[in-house]
Amino acid sequence: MSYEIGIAADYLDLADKMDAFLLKGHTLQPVYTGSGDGRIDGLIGTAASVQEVITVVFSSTTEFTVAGSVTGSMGTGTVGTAFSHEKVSFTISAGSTPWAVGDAIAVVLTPPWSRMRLVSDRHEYIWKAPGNSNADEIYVGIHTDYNASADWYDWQLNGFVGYSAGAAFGGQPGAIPDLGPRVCLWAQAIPYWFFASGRRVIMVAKVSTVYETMYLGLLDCPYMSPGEYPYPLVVGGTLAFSQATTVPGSADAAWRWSNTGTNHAAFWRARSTYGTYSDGIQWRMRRIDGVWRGFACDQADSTARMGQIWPYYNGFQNTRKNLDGTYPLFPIIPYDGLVDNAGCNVYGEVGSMMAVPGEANASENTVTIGRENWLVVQDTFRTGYGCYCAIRMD
Amino acid sequence: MAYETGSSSGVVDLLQKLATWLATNGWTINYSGSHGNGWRLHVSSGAMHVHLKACVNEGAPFNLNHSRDIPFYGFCLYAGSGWSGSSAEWYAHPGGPAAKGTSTTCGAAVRMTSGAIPSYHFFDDGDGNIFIAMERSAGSFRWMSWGFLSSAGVLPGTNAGQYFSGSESWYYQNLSLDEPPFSVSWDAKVFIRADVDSYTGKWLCLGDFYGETDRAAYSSVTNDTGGNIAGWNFNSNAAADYLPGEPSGIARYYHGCHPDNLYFQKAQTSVQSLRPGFLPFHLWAARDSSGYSLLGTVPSVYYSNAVGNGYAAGEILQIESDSYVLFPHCAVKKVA
Repeated sequence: MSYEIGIAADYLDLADKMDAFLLKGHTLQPVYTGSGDGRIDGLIGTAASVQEVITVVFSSTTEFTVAGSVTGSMGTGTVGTAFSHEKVSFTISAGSTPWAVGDAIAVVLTPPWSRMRLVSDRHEYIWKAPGNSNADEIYVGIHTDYNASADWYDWQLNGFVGYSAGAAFGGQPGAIPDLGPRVCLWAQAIPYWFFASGRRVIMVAKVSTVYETMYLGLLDCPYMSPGEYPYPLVVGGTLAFSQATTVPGSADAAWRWSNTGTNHAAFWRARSTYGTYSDGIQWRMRRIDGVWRGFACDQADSTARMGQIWPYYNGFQNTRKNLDGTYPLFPIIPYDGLVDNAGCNVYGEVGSMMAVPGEANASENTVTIGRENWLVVQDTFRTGYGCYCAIRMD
Repeated sequence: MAYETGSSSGVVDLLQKLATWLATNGWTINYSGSHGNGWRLHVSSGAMHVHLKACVNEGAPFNLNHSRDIPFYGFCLYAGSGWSGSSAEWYAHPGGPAAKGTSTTCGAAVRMTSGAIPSYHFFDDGDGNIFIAMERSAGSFRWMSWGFLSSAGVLPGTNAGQYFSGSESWYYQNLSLDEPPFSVSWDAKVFIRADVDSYTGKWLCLGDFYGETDRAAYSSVTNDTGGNIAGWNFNSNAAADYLPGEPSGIARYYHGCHPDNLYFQKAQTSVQSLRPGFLPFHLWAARDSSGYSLLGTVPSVYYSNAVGNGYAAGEILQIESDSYVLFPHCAVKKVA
């Protein structure tokens, strides 16, 4: 996935920056062939990007040519120097084994997302993602919400099956029909990490010492074919309230980033806020039958009203580093484990987002596995051994 | 990379067939000959030495006498680091696991019957990992395997990552368990070599109740027998009814247990397409202080509940260019 690291002025500027990031082309994970073990980094498209495969071929240990399967020749570049073209840019670095003539790197480039709506005064955005093959129409959006006197500034998140210009945010086709997940932000500077492909965007936002994570788009590695499950849309945030029980008043501090309750949790370690209802859960996924299912990792419910998240649901807090001191990574998998196998499903993997042990770990660490760099992030304010995930940065 | 399937007249015949097949696939046959009522086979490839015995109404050939050493039909095996010659006792070759509190070699067992074996399946993944599925009776399979794990990082120690397994322990070989391979059981049936903190130069084993070594290992797949074994009710969801020493807080999936436990394994076959999922067998080691570290995964063998959910034992499932043979509780990659 393409990624961007920066600092936004506040929660509104963060929305604008994410919009600008999404309106560029994005890349999928690079595929390396040959003996050189350097890496390609900083891959990002532009507003002019098209769906194509970018191929880098080395002509020496330090020189390479770049071509797109649609664009054709994009020029030449040098290891260690940023390569920039009107459709893509990146930097290639040398590894311990030099690049060799004929070594190659192939990267899928996807077109920019489309902005369907911008309501500037309220900072409401709706985007359409093209998919990783430019064959999808994936609709997601954010709607900022705040109470200045209560000092909370949030993004309300949602996902849709289409777009209606005349409909309100929550009235878009197929929208989550309740409050849905949110992320808790603030009106001060926010360090951020954006990750995007053609089918989803992931955000990490640091608010004080709390890490907010967000996911909008399709599940990246579904276990079912597109024909069986064409639209596994995920909306993941860090805050959720169940309308089936009690939604706090606007002045309540529960809406704030400093909330330390169970309703404030990273979607990948979502909690069943009030025990039994999908609408109080930070991870929602549009199931095959169109129901916005909640997925949680606590043990509060066994009555089939929500799905579960492996491995966190089954316990991860005693998982330590490997015996050689490296970190194992485990896929994060939403599943329905209903009673007596009725309605069971394992939906797939989040992809490029893995569970990592918290032993000797901390947010913003980088776990390196071969050529892969993974950003370590904690579950909001939690720092226990089982409270971390890692997001791949390339 | 090889695969063979067929039927066998009995445990001795099967071990002889295995010897022939292993030799064909590059293994050195150090010895293959009669032993007691049965047959013994000693094979090696690189650092892996495997010692097998087909038992014909006789006790386990380990030098570990105990009250449950009851004559049976089946197999015993252990892996080690060398071969001491045909004159050495079956159990006396170097580098095998030692039974808890002793220096005496122990290993795994497989309980079969006195009759014919309806089907067998030999798998070699081409990297020295051997998996053997044997149909004990119609639809009920038992397992033997050995090789090297796909390790999590670099495992410390000599021959680290080496593993071998059976379906039962040397101690309880008369107890026939219809369980997944590489699953946590109260019966020590899977042995793994790795240095873990202060525990060095020895074997870990899955299962820490009967037949164990001095340090337990664990699996991501926890046993379910579908009923009671000597008071352990695996159909209960009470925490006290879980296996003794079973760890919590590691990434795992449950094979069975109480329906109210929403564990991963129950859900792995899609109701949408009936297509089964394949899950890796993660193997874990308990650390000296606390917690567990991943040792690695078993190559080419996956947990699957396909059989019984739309698929039959022995059926071959094609996934793109790969094919897998399905068994109760597992699927094995078929490479030829």
